[in-house]
Amino acid sequence: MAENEVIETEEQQEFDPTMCDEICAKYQDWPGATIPVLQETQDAYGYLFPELVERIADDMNMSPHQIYGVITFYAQFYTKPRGKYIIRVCRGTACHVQGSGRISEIVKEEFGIGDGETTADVKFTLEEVSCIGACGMSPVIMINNSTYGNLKPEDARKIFKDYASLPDEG
Amino acid sequence: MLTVKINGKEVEVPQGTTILDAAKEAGVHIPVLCHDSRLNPFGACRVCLVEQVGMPKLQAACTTPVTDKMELITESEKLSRVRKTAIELLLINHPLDCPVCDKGGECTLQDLTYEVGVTKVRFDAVPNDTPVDHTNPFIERDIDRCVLCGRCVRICDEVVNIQAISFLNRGTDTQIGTSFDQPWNCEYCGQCISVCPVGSLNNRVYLFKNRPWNLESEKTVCGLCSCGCTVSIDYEGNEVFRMNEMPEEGVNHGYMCAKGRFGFDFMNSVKRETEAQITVGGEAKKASVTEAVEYASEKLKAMNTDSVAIVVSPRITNEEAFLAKKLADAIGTKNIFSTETDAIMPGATYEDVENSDAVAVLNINVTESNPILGLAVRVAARKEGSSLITFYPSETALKRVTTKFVTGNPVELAADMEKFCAAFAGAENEFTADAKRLLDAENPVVVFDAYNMADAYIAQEIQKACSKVKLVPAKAKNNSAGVVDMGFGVNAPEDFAKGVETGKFKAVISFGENIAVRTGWSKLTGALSKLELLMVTDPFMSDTAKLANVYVPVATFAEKSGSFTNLEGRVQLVSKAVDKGVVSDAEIISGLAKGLGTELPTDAYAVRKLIEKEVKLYADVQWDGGTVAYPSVFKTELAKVATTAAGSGKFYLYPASLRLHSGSYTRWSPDLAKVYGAPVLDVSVEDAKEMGLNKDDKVKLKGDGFTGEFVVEINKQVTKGCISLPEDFVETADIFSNGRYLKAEIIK
Repeated sequence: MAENEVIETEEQQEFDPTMCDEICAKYQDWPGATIPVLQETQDAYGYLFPELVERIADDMNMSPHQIYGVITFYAQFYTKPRGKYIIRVCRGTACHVQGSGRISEIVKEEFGIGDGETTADVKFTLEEVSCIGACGMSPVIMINNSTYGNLKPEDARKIFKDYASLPDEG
Repeated sequence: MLTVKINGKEVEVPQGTTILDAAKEAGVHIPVLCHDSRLNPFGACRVCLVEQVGMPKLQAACTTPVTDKMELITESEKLSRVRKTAIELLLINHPLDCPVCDKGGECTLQDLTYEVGVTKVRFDAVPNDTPVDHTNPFIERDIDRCVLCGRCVRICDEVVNIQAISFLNRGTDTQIGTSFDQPWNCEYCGQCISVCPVGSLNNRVYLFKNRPWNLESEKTVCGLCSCGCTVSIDYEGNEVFRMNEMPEEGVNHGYMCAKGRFGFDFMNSVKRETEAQITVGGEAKKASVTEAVEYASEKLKAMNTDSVAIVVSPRITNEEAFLAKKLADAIGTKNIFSTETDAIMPGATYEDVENSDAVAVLNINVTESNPILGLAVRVAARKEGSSLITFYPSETALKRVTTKFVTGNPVELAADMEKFCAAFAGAENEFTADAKRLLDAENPVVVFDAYNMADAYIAQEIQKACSKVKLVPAKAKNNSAGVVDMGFGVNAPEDFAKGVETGKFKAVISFGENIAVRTGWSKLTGALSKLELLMVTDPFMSDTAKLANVYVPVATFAEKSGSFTNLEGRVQLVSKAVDKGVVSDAEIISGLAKGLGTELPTDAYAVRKLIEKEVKLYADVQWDGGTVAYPSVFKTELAKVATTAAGSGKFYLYPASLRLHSGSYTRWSPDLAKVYGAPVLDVSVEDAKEMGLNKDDKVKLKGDGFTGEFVVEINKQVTKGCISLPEDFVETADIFSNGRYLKAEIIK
């Protein structure tokens, strides 16, 4: 009946559930494994889209709604595609005083994305964060795992341009 | 035992008691909002805060267990200020639209606002204006009114185990919702509505139809399936406005299912007949009930007594069934039938199931066929250290709580169940461990379909190997057990078919039975229409009533008094709530008997006294909730039944249960019919892909001796190679008259 229906959403896409099944199998008899399963599947697929969440729910014998509740509780789970490069602009007090607001603006100028948004080519995502613990080199940003500090606005623009010119592969 | 002093009054309570329960013991009222005694303590609303002497902080009464010598104060200046503020804070985001809210008059938040004395709103907040969610066909959801007490989420998780809704987001953005804002699809049991303390979740069938203070209530027993739920029929005048739960009352503990909660509207249906009808020579004429009954009894008088057959529906009351038996005696016929037989009778109560530590469910989708029995199975399965093994061709809602779920096509499944059964006797196979869990358990229970003899045989063999196993045959209708007790289970249903087909029966009187849609009987329609007398009583012009020479409209279970015997063998009283201006079956039976020169009482109480005298099983039965002591589940030892699928075809076809319907009765409910009006063919995802089938495609189904055209539903729980159709629909009864194990071909 209705709740067993195969859900078809607009973004329905053929996805290969093999990785998801493997991850879930690993945690099968481990109570309280929801978060590690979500972390690993997110790492494997990039973000948690509806079909993937359905699949995780089926694999883990859970309700997708409950899983979605967990996903939306934590800021580190994403239900929208995320860029290849995550730009984290620190908006903590020290960085704020040192002009980090201008850096966010530059991201907007360069890529046209605001906080939490992703470019259409799925290359960049902007995240404004509260503090990344490097106040000594404020204003500071992180792009994936690399940190750039003591930034003047034009330094930041150059860094962004460099990333934008990187080839898609590799 | 711990001694606790509440407001100066000392009480002794066992370890682990919460302050709230201790206060109840002491007769002290503590206001609550998010608390429900059937759910785990939660402590979200802070309305139940109390003072503990010697503690600077206030304690939530619903979550804090008492300690020895604890001294508590539940009424003080400080507490009334705190409680008032708690309610005021809830009212910031709660729209004050009480005049147009369906909950007005029975709203916990409204009552608490009055109780704590909030008279004006101190805070200035912009109310939300989120559109009301109508994606669920039965449940309206207005998230602006939600106070996030979580009772709906918790009951769906802790009791129903469906988890169709969940808390989403965090902090001030928290709301109740579904994954990715999908339409809200669920079992439609409406348990969430019953616990919602505000007007956030509403019953769409009742919505905007009346106000609770206009309604009168009659406590009765639901007549829509064999569960035997205690419900309240809320009515004004002679109109039924809702069938409501009675919190924590009855064998159902105040839970209900989609049929009961949303299906009652057939009682008010404008399609119900009000006048009797006599058909002579193909011409139907309206008649009074007296005329119709006289016409029938005149005809009966002229008949050879052995050519008269009486059929009763397992929907009628014990009293009516008893009277029908008396009528048969008055006529002098032994041809009495029902779809039920006395081969299998109730064997355990819900309590036995709930207390069980190992349950096996054999080839029945129990949460669909008997939703309240399904809840009891879930109670057992959820318990720490207990186990549940379920056999069913497709995955069912029990999967979330099942230790081992065995699926496969019906023939494989039967073989698996045989292996499981053999494991009880010591055979080594993949089910040895599962059988051992039942063998080692203190209170093992086996639930099976009372109408599938192959499964019943397995259950019997399991009980033979493990005598402590209690058996729960899941019966179908509200009085399936009762009509048998009153004598209508002695003849096999097949004999009725034979009698009609061979022309042995010249007259058939059917009290409430819709013969034309019953599996095994549906092919009799041609022969039935040729009878000299076919008298049918039914609240509606049913498929069988259309064939009748004499039709009399009768009362539904809300319009008569009597008793039903449920699947536990529990006898419960039904009381009359409304009068729709039609007679009951009892009155027709005694009218017919009078025409034949026998006086029969119609008053339910008088009939019960007669039953006590004449029906041995009911000699000392307690009519208001006592159980009948059946000597055994099986009347005689069952023989093994072959489970090979008949016919040829690519797919295994099996009958499925529907939670939205039981038999043909509920199809008159406009709301249930809107969601599930015609039988739908469930196909697996893999098969649909292979055959290029889409949802709602119309396909032909062909098997040995049957064909049909059905709409396709793609169901991810269905096993590849299997298809299912619901039983007891006009369109499907013929198909399953060929057997329960069938093969069929889908033609696009």
